[in-house]
Amino acid sequence: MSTETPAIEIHQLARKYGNTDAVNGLTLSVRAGQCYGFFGRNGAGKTTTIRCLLNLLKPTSGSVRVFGLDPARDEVAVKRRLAYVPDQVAFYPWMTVAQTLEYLASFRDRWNQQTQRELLDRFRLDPAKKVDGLSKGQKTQLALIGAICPEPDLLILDEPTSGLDPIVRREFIQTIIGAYQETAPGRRTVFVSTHLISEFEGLIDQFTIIENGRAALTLEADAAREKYKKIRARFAGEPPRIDVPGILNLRRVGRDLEIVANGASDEIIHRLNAHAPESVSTEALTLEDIFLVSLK
Amino acid sequence: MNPRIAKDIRLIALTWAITIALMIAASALPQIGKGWAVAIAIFGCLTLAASIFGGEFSHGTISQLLAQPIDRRRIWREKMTLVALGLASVILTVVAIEGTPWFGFVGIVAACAFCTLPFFTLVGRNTLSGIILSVPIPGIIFLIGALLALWLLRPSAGTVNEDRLQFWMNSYFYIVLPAYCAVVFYLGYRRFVNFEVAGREQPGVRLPGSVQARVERVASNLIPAKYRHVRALVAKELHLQHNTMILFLIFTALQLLGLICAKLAHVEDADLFFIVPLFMYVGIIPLVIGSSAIAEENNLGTRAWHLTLPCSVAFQWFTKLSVVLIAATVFGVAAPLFWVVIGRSIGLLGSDSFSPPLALFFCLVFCPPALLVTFIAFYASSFSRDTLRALLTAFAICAGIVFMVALGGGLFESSSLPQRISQYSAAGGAIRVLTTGWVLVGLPLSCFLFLLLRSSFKHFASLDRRRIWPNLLTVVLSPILLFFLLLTLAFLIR
Repeated sequence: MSTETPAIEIHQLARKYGNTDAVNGLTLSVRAGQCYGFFGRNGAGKTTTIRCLLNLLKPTSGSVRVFGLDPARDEVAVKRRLAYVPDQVAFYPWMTVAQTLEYLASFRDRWNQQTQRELLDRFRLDPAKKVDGLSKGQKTQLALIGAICPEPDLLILDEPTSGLDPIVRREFIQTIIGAYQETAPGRRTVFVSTHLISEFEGLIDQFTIIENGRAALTLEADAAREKYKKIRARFAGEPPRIDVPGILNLRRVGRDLEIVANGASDEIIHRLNAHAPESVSTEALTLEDIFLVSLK
Repeated sequence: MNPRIAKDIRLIALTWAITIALMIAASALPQIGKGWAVAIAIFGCLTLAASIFGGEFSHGTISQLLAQPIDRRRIWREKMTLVALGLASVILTVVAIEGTPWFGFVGIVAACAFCTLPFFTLVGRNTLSGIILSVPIPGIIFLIGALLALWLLRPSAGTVNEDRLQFWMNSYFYIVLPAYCAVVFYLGYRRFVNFEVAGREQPGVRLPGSVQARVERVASNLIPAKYRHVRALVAKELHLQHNTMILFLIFTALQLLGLICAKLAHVEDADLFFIVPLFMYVGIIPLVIGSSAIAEENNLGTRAWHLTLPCSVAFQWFTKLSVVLIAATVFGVAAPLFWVVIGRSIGLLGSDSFSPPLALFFCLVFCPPALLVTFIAFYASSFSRDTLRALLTAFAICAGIVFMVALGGGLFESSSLPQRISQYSAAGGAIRVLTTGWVLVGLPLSCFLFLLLRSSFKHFASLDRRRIWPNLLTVVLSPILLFFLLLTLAFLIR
């Protein structure tokens, strides 16, 4: 398989539940080595898409490929290369933490014991403790350990940080996922569906915003920050009226004018300067802001 | 209507509706129908009384319910009133179908269910555990009391003072059982009023870890160490069968006590002590084994991620099926056979009870239905949200099949076919008749098994819960249609 083969390739994916379109013509491609964000409101079709990727649901139409393979036909080959952390983590209550990891390891050819020890220490999980006695956050931590130790090429995370406290959340996202990708740069891919976009801000290379089962926006994170700008201008008197294509949001607060622009920031600044503002400043939008403005 | 009460009605409505519908359907069957209706009523009473709290656990709503600004005693009253109404309607249906002879027996079962099931459901934190715990305890009390009575009566020369034995029976039914029910009802009430939500997800009632570990070790040693994923899968599947193991242990205890009682009492008719628990066990255990296989994973919430492990779904399904079949053979066939052999060897089961040779009886009459019921429950388990629903669905499918077979039998009897077959057989066509019979039964049965297994795999492999009803109808009706088609063909060819 060439290195050009995308880690995930979804083409015109559609999935219906009765008469409801959960996913309706979604197309996206995730390059190997990327950290890919998959954002959307509740019920936008994120979990359905992930389940189609994992062959837990059959697409109504369209195609899904993981490392160029069909998850339905090359089921085991696909599953060997990925690990999945679901939104609702559950384990067998009779097992201890160590037994659960041993159970998960029994299905894998590769299992990094050192990583397991390190992560257990970092999360302060007692290997002898029964899974039944773990809190929701601790179960999520255990699921994350179980997903990272086999060193998969693709990590699929569905709302991975729900239930984690802020310290662990930050540590998990920045240290663990970062370290996981850095140990094999260009090879390890992370596909993350989340609401907590700001937490993943520095990690996301590319993202798709899904709305009503379709890709509403797909962009490289850097290109998005370049494209989406917030422009603030202060005027001596009342702010002028500006009408330029590309303005997504315009707000007047006293003498201040705040504009959220999509790719036309130079033109807007040029127009603003024509009205002799006291000051003009621009800043890149965060991914969360981009998510919010694009769904408005 | 108060939405809270509407919600409570919804919790027991399915069980209630299935029970009443099956009772009415069963009563229409010739000969065995009324007995079936009573059996269904008993099963329905237990499930109905357990569902009122069990439903809250299976939906994960118990903490939400208890967090509402309403007195828990009021919730208890409302729930128990609904259960009482539901049970009363079942009793009335029994009276309408059966007349008064069964009123007392079903009434006692319903009263016991009303008083004890809420407590045991709250202890077990799910419906099935509640039923499994509540059923044998009155039986064990009865048997221990009977042992005590027998020791006091000291039967000699093979006879027991019937009056004194009757005195014990009356004491049990009029004093011990009501006292037990009253105590457990109060305990249930106290438990609900002081109920603590521990945050655990359906811990249920489990066997001690050491027992499970021992069973696991025995099973694991049978599989070469290099197949460690198979070992892990088998061990996990055995754990999922914990309800089966608990039921087996309870049955063994009951059977041992029954055996001692029957032996001490020198009973001629071993029905009450020995055969009734045996028949109850052989009826329930295949349902429990099959139902636990997949639905138990849904209970635990582990099914989705387990399917994503690097092991083919087909292999996971096959491992489940294999463990289920082995469990059905060991717990559902071998264990009852063992008790029948014991019963025979000590003279409890005379030649009247089981006249054909035992091995033949088990191979031909008992084993195939037990395995078939296991397959049906396995199929129901593949699309059910929890084990209890799987068990109920499997029970309903089995009852439906019995109903249709009995109906078919009635039609067969009333037609001229038996006469024609005997004429044909007399004319030297016996082998052809036999062959036709095998084809008539074998083909639809094979078709049924194929559809059951194929559909269970399809449901297991996908989280898609659509098209369950059409699939259910296809699985059940296709073999029946095939049977009638073959029957028509047989007629036409002749």
